[in-house]
Amino acid sequence: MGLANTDALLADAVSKLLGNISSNELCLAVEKGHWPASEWAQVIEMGLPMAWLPESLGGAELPPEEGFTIARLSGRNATPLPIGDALIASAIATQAKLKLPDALVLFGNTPANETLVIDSDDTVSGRCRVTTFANHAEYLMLPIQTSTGSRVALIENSGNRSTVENTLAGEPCCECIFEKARVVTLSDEDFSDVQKTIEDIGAVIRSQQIAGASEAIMAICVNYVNIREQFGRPIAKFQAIQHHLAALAGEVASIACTADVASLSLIKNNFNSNGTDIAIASAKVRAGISGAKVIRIAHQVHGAIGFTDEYELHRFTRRIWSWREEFGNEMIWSRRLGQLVTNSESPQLWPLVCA
Amino acid sequence: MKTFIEFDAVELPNHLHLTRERVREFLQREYLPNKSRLGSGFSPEFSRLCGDAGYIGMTWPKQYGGGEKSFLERYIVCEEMLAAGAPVWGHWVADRQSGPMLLDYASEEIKNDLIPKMIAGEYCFCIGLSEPDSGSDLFAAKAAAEKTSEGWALNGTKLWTSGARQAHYMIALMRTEKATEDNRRHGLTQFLVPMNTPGITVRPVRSMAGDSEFNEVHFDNVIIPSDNALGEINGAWKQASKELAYERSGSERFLETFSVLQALADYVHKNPKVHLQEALGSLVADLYSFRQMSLSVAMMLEQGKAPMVEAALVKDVGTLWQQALPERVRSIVGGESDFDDQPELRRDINRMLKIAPKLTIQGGTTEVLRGIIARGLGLR
Repeated sequence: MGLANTDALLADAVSKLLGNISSNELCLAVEKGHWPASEWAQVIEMGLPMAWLPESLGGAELPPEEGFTIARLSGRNATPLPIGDALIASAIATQAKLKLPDALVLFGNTPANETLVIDSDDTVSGRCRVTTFANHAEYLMLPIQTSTGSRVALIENSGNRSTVENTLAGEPCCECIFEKARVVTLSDEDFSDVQKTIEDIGAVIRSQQIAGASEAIMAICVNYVNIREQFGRPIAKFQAIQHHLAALAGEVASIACTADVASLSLIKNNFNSNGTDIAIASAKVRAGISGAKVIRIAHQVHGAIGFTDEYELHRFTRRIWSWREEFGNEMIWSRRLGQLVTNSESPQLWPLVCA
Repeated sequence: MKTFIEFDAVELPNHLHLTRERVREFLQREYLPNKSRLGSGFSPEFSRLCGDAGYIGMTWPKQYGGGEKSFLERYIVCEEMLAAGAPVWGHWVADRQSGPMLLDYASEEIKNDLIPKMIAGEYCFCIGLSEPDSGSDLFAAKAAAEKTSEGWALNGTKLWTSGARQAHYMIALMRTEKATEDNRRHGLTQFLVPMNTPGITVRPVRSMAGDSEFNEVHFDNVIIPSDNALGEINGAWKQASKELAYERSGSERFLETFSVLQALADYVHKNPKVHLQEALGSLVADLYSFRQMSLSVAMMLEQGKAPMVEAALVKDVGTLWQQALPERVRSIVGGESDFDDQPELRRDINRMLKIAPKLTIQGGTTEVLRGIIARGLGLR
């Protein structure tokens, strides 16, 4: 991918692992409720979700680019595990200086107008929403309001949950409801913009995953049109197909390039999102809009086979649909970007675009 | 899995922000106060000002007066000029591709003679490629150059040549031999043609946009010196890749209709409705992406690569977008109740609508570009 300083050896190792464990069969099994425990154990063993977390907090402390590379590769393999979500949680833990256990930790957001507080017996009660796999998370990270500011707490995820529904990707999604859950650790410092940080990092991670899935789709398409014969020759030889795939390549390149720029921008700003708004918004908008075009073209060149569940295209298609909604879809990020332009005193676009 | 196409994310070095500031000051000083006089197309006066400021031939060797600056620094200067709508077309082609072409393939004498004046903004160049019977199919060119005792004799017609009336020189693609059975690209040679040579007639072709940017250039036994053949005789096709990458990947591939987006931003600024902000934001995100892709190709050029496929991709997505932009802005504001009271915005949309159809044709059609990309993907 287009990020400098990434370690080719590490990327190869991650690629190999994710390639081995991610299959169409596993995706279909997860859709029926299976939790890939042994596959997750391998991912944890390699330290992937903890890429950003310092060693002192139980993480792998890899260079920051690697976290985004891992997200990209999880998209490229359509791995049916919460790798991106766990990465996001570890990014928050890093900023909150929260030590994490070697387990599945996911970040839970409170619904609008609800806040969580720690009761006098050091427990917390309430509910939170988690993107995916919350029913398998051993711990949850939560935004907490205290009298002295906002904190992040780690709790055991032992409470009830709402009915588990599958996302468009076929991954489980639910709301977690907890009563008198024991707080394992609480961050020391104020972390008042945790919601924005989650949304920003989440948007970039999802953009990287969509970039990876789009790259995989392109490879699948190129391979398919070279093999599939109709009218006496491989369909790759038809100009209509060539133009479809050329257009697809443009969409894929724009998603990948913008996701990398946003990643670089976050890294440069130490994961503090101020000044990176346009890069992040553009990445998620691009992933959403171009992702839909990638899907349309890929299915068109495949014909009926691409629509089946035995052929692997669907698991990439459906993940793009799911990921584009999470951490703000392209409509929401477009609006934010438009407001960024017009809420300023002078709506000069050019200085903003090349800031 | 190895991906086919890679656009590395570019982080501009800090000192280039200073370059950007200086160009903005230059435009503030030299262009904006004189905007109505200088216009937005060809301006010999503005080109000379750019020459004086060191903004032409920035990457060329110091030996000929060039700046030996990086390709990224040149990129920043160019995009600032275009975003401001400055009248750069008098030196644009010379700076973008004719200069680099001459530096690679012209004789020392020609270089010493021409390059310093190109850098000073005194010479305007045009490119003679298309003909009445060969547009996208460049290898079908018929206009011929024949070796004579005096040099080369040129005969034939070039068509759709931008800026031929203003140009001092043309880099012309001429047939010097028939194509061969196994290589239809064989037999074409590039020539440096002084436009004041006897036998050249230039006829403007008026466009639907109301201008006459395109021209028909007729060669009637035009004699030029032997030295003016550039590079390999019959082998022009081998020399094209770098030149085309320069031509296709620059910011003119997404900034030509930019003013209409700024006009939309100004409108939404006064009418901050949520649906308008959302529509504006989506277009700004597009612009952000395509600029980053273009910048990434600039970086590859800086590294000495010839990113043919990537340049074709930038031009494909960028030109489709800038072509659609006036339509999209129209669809965003056209239903607003006060649209009739926005004469300037309407004028801007109309002006850009009229130039839009050519944007996916000049410099390589969408269809030609997609053929190149498909080849890059291994489909041809």
